[in-house]
Amino acid sequence: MDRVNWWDEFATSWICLDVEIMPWSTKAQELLRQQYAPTGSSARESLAAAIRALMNEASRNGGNRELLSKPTKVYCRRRNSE
Amino acid sequence: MLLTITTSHRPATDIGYLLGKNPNRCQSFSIAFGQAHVFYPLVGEEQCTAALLLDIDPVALVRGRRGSSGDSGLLAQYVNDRPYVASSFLSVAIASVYGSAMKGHTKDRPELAETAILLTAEIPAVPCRGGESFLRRLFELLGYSVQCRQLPLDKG
Repeated sequence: MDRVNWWDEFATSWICLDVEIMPWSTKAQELLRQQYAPTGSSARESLAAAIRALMNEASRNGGNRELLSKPTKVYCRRRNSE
Repeated sequence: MLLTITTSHRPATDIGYLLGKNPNRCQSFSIAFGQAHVFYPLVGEEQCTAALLLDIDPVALVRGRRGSSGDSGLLAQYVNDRPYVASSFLSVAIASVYGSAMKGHTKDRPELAETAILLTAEIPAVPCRGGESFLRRLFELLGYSVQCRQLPLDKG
């Protein structure tokens, strides 16, 4: 405030700051831990298992590449975003 | 979400008769909240695995607000674990896809349906606030042997 010459500009020697401290970061931490992180863990495990099963099926009978494409896409998108 | 059921009862491919699903075919079913697919990742006389794969659209869940009222808090969120964990959606899919097996109906192997055989069911993820001890209390009382591990929290 000294640097921008605030005191002179507003011709005052005092200010009052009215501040509300919102616990957003704390709240977000909780959301991350309780909802987003478990969803991420389950997604990783679940998609990997689905892909393994579908790959086995596909290699067995020349099978269902179409089914395989969706979980693979979602899984790769997640991996790439990390 | 994936549920696999494996047997080593011989011939293991008879599990196809019990489930009413041909091991050589991949079948898809429409259910209220998405698609269910049944296929066999492993087919052999010694071991055979049937897989039930659920494809749930989490955005459609939020927009359509399907599911039980108990889930409504979670289903209001676009980021939710429902597509990836065993939940009531899986129960609904099991009842719909494996309904006749659950009733013990099988046209071709009625004597096998009456026989106790070794079955292993695997699911990749289940949310459980009570942790491992709660899971064990639920299933071991019913005669299941339970193997589980806690997944690390995703750092992504």
